[in-house]
Amino acid sequence: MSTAAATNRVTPPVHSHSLQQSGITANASIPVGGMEQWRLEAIQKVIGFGSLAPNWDSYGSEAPTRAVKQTAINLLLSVPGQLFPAPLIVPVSGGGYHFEWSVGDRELEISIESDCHIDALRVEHGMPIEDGPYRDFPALFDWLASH
Amino acid sequence: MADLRPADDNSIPADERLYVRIYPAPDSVVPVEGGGQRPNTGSIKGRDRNEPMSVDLGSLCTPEQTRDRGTNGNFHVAMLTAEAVRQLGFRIVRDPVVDEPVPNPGHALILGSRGNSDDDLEGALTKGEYSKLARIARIVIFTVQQQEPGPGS
Repeated sequence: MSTAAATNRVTPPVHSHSLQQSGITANASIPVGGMEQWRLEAIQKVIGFGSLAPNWDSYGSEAPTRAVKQTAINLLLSVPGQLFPAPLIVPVSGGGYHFEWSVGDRELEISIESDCHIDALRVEHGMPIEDGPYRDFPALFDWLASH
Repeated sequence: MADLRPADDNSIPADERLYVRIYPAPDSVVPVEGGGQRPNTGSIKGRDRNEPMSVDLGSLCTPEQTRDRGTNGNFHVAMLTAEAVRQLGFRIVRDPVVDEPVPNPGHALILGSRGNSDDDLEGALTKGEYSKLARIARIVIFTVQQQEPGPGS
């Protein structure tokens, strides 16, 4: 028995994902050391919504795909430093994410669609400003910070 | 640019309540100054962003029916009034669902002003229009989430 077990012993392949005892898959490519708590929690939410059951919204939607999830994580990692509060994060029907940051009278809504397209909407004093599309996300966060 | 949207249905009265089902993620609802809660903008976006927004007419169904129809009942429900929706420039039309496994005679559509690939108006909503509607909507059924989505859940 012990011989057979030794014969069948395998060495796990080396890659960036490893299964922890908690059942959570950690991605070593995401640097978490020194990461702000809000960012860590936001990434955990994004990862969590990746496990939504099929038809989670009752309209036949699937959970966000790995590509959409990674796009969302990259977005969160690109948000500048410690200036901002934690965003509201919800899954969007069709397999995307929606983020909302609120600072003073300004809000920034960023959505990621199921094709990984990212779009943003600025809101000031509760009124949406539809002058996108935006590509310069650092500039959007500068706008949010300069309330 | 052609406006292919049907006309606003004035048989839907101003005080008609319009119900929207909301997935109960922890951030799906936002407190409103002065009390109450509204849905997050992302929570009211439909599966196909090229389509109008689906609602249920309050004269033909209850908010509980909106919550429960074809679901496990684990959803919030938000409410708008036809008057407030029209004041923002939207049209509302009846769109009863009759030949589906789960019929919904009270189904209706809010028509927005986002153009399609040919720049024609078919009723899709802009991102700002979703945001405006979320801000005038109010949560009328808040369902305590049975299980928070999380890794492995």
